[in-house]
Amino acid sequence: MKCEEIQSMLRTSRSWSRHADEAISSDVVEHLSACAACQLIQQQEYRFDEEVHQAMHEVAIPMELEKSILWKLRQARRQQQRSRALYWSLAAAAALLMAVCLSWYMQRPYDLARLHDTVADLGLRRTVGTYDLAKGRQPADLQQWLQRQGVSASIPNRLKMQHLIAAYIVEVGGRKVPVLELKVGSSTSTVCLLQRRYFNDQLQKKLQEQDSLTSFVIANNDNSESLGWMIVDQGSAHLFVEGMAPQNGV
Amino acid sequence: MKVERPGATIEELVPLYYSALYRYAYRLTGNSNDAEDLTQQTFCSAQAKHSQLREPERVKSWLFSILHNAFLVRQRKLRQATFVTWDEWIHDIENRGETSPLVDSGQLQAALLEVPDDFRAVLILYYFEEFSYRDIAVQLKVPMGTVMSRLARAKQFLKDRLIKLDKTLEHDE
Repeated sequence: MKCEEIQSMLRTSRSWSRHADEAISSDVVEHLSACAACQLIQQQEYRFDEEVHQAMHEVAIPMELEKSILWKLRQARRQQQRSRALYWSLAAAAALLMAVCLSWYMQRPYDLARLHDTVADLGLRRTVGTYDLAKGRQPADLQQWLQRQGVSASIPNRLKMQHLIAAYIVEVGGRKVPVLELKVGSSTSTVCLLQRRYFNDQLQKKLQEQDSLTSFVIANNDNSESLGWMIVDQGSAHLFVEGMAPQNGV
Repeated sequence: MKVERPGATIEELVPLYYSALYRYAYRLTGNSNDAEDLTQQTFCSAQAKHSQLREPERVKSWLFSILHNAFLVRQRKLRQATFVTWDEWIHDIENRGETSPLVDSGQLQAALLEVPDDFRAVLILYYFEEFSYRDIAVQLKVPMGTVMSRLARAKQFLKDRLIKLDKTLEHDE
């Protein structure tokens, strides 16, 4: 090895280094033993390093530094806890708001406009599910099927199952509405089973004002879960409630 | 001497490392207030990022690295419009003398503050905390070859400055 290389190496080697991979190699040691110039450089470098190393450590540490760091850490942790508490409060508030919105969505009244559309083109609507009449003609069978479909509307007692020719479910504004087709003599009626809990006073009033549902009766019958029947027959629609005589015979 | 245990809390690390970190900060900034702030900031950042520490046995190196980053951020904010160009700096190094000065702590600090930030950090870590070259490279996020070249230049620059300061003092006396 040349003196230049050795001296360059010596300038970045530490006499006090504890790291084995930084120790000077055996060929450098060999060179140093035979080269007075490099030995001198090594001595100068090591002396300079020792002095700087020593001077570098001569820094007075402030008396209260440790205490002030610990105090800062506690303060920062408290701040972090406060931020976390605020975060969870906001998360809880957001969850509550979502629950309120969801609850409102679940309980929202029927969308009257969509109800009209549904009634007007029932024949064209895609059904969500169709009841297989071969599986039973008892009201309880139909009721169970509706429950399995996630529909809680109850079947009125007045329904005569022998008149039933089809039962299926359509979706109106995200809500499932059971539809029953009934045949009495030569007259066929299509009936939408609506639920009282999704009607409010305003909606009832509006319904009464609708001309397209030509003649209907809305009566308050708190004991019935189903508000009534919406009957579409030869272009006219009738709504009536359980316990009252239908306006258009079933 | 106290030794850190794996998974130690930051509060437990304070008595072990605050002095070393303060010295490092002081040598970087040359100012006790800034050094104090940096040391406190280092432990606060470490507390906030404690979960990110992948190798608990390298916690010392990690703390030094946090301090150095905080120092660089601070320097960027404080940077003045006066720079020493690279050429000027290299020229200074190349025209150095070979005599070794006698090193005094105050003179050392004055000379250190003239060394550009990146080079200063290499120099301090080299002399000061017995980190391996590999550790220094990891802390400063530079290749090991860069550490070695910066070290050689910075050391020579330091030597040169100390000689100049020494001569100035002799002249004043």
